[in-house]
Amino acid sequence: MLWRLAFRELLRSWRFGLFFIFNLSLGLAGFVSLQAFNTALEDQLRANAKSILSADLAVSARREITDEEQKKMQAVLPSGTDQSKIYEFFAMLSSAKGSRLILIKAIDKSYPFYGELEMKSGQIIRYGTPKEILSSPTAWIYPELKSQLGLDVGDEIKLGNLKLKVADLIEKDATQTFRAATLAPRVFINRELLPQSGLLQFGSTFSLAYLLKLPPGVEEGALREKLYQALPDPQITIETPSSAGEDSGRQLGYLSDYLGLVAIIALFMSALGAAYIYRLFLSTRMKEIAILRTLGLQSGQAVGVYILQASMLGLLATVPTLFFSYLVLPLLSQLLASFTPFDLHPQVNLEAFLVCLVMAVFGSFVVSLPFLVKIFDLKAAKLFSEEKFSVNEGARRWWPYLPPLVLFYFLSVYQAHSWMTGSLFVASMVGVILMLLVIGYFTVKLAGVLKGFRLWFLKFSFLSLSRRAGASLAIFVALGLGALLINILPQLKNSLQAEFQVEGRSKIPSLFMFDIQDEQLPGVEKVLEKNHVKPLGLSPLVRARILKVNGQDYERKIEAQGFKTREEEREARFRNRGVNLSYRHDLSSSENITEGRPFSGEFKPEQQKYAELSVEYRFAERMGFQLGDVLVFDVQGVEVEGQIINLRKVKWTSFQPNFFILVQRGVLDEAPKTFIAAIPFLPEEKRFLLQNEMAQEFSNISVVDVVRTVDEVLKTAEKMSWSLELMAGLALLTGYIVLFSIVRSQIKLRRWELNMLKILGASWGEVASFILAEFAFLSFLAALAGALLSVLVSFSLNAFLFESDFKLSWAQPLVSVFIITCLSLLISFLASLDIVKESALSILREEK
Amino acid sequence: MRPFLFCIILLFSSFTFAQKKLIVLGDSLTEGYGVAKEAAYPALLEKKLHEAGKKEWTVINSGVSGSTTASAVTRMKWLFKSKPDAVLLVLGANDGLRGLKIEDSQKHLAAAIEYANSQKVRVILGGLYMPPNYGADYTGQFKKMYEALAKKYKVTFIPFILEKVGGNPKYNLADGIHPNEEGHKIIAENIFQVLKGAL
Amino acid sequence: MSLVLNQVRKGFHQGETEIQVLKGLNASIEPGQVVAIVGQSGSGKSTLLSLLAGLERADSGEILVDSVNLVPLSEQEITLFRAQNIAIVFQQYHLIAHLTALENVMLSLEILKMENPRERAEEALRELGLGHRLNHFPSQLSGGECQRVAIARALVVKPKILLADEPSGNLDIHTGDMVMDVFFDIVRKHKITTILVTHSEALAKRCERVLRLEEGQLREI
Repeated sequence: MLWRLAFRELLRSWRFGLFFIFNLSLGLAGFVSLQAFNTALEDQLRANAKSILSADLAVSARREITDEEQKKMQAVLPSGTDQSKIYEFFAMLSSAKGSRLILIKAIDKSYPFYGELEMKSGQIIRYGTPKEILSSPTAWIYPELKSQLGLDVGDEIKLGNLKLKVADLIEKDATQTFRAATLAPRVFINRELLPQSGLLQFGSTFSLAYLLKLPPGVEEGALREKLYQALPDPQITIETPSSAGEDSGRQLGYLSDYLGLVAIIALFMSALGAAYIYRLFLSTRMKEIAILRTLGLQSGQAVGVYILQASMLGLLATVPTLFFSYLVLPLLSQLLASFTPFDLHPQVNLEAFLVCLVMAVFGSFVVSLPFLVKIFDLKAAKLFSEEKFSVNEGARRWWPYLPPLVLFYFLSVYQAHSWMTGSLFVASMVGVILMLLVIGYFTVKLAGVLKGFRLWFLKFSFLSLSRRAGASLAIFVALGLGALLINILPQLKNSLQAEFQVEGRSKIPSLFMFDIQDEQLPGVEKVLEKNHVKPLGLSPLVRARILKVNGQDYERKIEAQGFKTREEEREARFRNRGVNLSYRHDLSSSENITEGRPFSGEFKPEQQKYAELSVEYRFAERMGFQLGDVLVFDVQGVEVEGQIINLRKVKWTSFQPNFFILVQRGVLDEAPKTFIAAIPFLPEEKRFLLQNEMAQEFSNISVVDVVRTVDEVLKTAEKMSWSLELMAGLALLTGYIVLFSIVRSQIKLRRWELNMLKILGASWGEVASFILAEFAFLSFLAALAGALLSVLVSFSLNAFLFESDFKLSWAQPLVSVFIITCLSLLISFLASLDIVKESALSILREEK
Repeated sequence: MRPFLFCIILLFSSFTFAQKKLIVLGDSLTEGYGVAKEAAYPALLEKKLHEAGKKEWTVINSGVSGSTTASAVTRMKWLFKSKPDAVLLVLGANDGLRGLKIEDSQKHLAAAIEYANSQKVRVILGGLYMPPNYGADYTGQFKKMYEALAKKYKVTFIPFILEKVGGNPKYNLADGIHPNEEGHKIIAENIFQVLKGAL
Repeated sequence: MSLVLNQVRKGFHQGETEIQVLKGLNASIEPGQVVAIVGQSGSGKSTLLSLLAGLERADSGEILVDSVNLVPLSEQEITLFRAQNIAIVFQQYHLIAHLTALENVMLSLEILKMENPRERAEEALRELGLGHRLNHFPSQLSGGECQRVAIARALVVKPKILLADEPSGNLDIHTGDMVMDVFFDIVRKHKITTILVTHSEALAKRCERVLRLEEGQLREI
């Protein structure tokens, strides 16, 4: 019977049904497309990380893996795992044209599982590409060897006892290595030839890596844990694409947190739309419910009827959503591909569609539960008095707010893939809704106080606002929340983007020179000057060990039974590694103080007890250092005491040498030290010349070319930056669509009143002004409140989740306030046009 | 706290009252990269010397990670202000690992030995081998460099201070290069075996 | 103001078939006349009222109000014309729920930009015996009171023509009689041309002239 009732009423009010479906599917389409872009982006970033590792999982060590370990490893690996074994080690290459230190990468036919090598010949080496070096005694070399030694295709090189011909030059290689990457150019050879070379024997230093390609569906993280248990020796490291890569990995983590936020915000936006429209739907149905009650329907059954109706409508709303996602998404992605560095193929996956279905079918009424229970308060007796029915009466209950809260909490955590992000977000949303309610309450009160308008429509407009307090508050909160959600992502984007921003290629080093001795410094400077090169930085480097922190021993001694855990050992090794100290007058442009004060200047022995120290904040975090801590260093036999006066952050994309600890000037100036010089971007030709000149004049100074690495990182940074831009933009678009549908629904509710005004003789202009004034006031203040709160929320999300500097931008929120206000006005305007065109009677008949 | 300079003079002047001083001038192997300062071989060597009755000796660790032979003379000039009696020169590993020219390393080490001689500080030369992956040519020349220096300057010579340690995963950290605590014990013993008669 | 109906036709589509409700009405009403239109349910009374109010448009014929034909006017023109000349009282009162009695009445004055809306609205409500209920909301008023507010709202703008649709239809006999007493007093006092649609013969008898709507035609009784 409930089914029949629900169905019949739906058929009867099919116009409303269509309207409901239209609006709901708008919100849902926004949700799924955001979700689809999100997944596509995540996939691409994951693929990027995979191509760097060139595997799903890599087990590496700087020694051979024993047979026993082999067995244990194989036992853990799921069947269908593909393996590739590679060796990497430094060696001397000799040739007729000279000799040089190189990094040998000995590969097999499976390499690389992911990613690719671009060869000078134009060939692209991917998984499964036949490789010349495996079928003939040849090698691939990095182009540096051409510029430095003059080696080219066809030349013979000698590696130990191995004589190989150069088959090709590697132009682009995005893969990482398991050894110091930039010290020497790479040479790729066939792994099978290693025994012949005689280079690997007892005492050789090399890295061995098993690259694994897992069968689909295997979770990398879990397998990594299992492997760690099977291979407990700390000398073995196991990396997944997400664990590999230090700095960029962290940024990647930020990005994935951000995308998680995008997903929740999409969810909230669509729920907001659905809840709002459903609430209106209910309010128009109150009279019918009362009639049904008089006919003997229980309140519970009445609730059932509307739950069924909402679910049916929700289900139907997913149909246009699906259509949209299959027809419009591919077009949208093509459009985007034309101006972003991505080739994204967003697709609505089953998961997103299920969440969308849950949202549509259950979400709308769970969210409306607080209104649904009002059915129990309904006074059917009102039917006799021909009074208006509304959802805003009866007792206040708190419990109906609980199920939506719980539902959203879990959905948020699920969407963000993180308890922390999910909890934080839901908590801030609850806080924000409460704040919006308070602000909204005062706004509505304010509307009631505003009097003395000469124009009747203004007067009645504000009167209507304050008298219909419930409805006004609802739309205030909805618009405010919408404005807030719309603004969070762009705000966070600004802050996160600052992390990826590059100050221009000229500020980024292309060469590093290290091991410059004190007495070599003038000579080096002269060479640079002669070449018209001004170093970006010339940092002194003083080795030291930290002995004590606030009187406590800092270094970790080994216990009789050895270290208990891998983590403990790693921690001890890290602490015992010693630190590189440096000193400067102040911080560089790529650094900024997160806590504390800048250096006071030169060290003054008469006034200062301790030397001032500046500590990199992540290092401080890891070591538990606080502002004000006193550190005792052993600087090559001499104890130096210092106190931490600030924590500082170094911008990752600046590529400047990062010293964990900086000491103020005047303390270490006389200590034994070397220098590191960072050389700005130079054209390739000039770079090679400088490198050669340096090598000739100062044999000990190593010059490392980082252009290749920098380019790779910049490319990644650019992609990340674009991802942020893209998702923020999409969120804005979705948000405006949802707000559009909210305002539209709200206006629909006002048709009766507008029509009445018309019957009473108001002109079209007056009707329009009446509704415009009301919405201008409400939407402007709501959007303003939401936008301002968004600054607060993004500030705290930024502080908790991303730890980056908050970049406040007023333009973005204010523009959104403007757009939301204009949008509301436009919709109101269109609605008033409708009213004037439509026959007054039909509206009067339609609904009271 | 005083500035480094003042501090060091005070420290050094106090040392003039100590009986005998051995400075170990080295790189990360000497610094004890990854192990505690007390677990690095210079500290262990001092203990061994004391246990063997040579209580007058103080061993000073002057290891600087990443340093090359090019730094030897400058550092000696600085360190010799404390008037040491002997210097154990253990440099060259980074030269080799970075594939620097062997002639240059040899030149730097020779200059260091000559400077020490001029300052009447006794030199003990610690030799090193390069791992075989650098190829027989390079490793052979590298080994010969120390032998040639020892012969030319007639200094006390420890042919390979990493004897029994180098290349054995049991005695090295996960990086396969730096000795662990056990490795440092063996190095200390290797050196002690030569020094107990020589000092 | 005089009102002349000339061959007014109106039909509705119901699926395939077209139902002719008004089949060429003819009538002429003098200025100041109070006319009742009676008829059975479904005879087309409400349709006729909608046409007179300009809320709906006739298919053909003429509706002449002081020689202005309503039929060809645009929606906007008709709205303007209605505002200046015609007031309506509905059976369901149709008051704006969030406005008080006084504000509901003031609203129509203010829409027409008349002078001293508050005073005039108060006066109109007092005239209808609601001087003590000025600041009550519709939900706080009884049905009779609501209808009196609706009448006040209609009359306060001094319309030339008043259209009333079963004004006592929702009220009990006693209340209905009381409301209608006031109603007739006022329209006669102000000489407003009034069309009163009702199915109550008793109410019809209180008018000067009664027309019966039957089979799509108006007949004098």
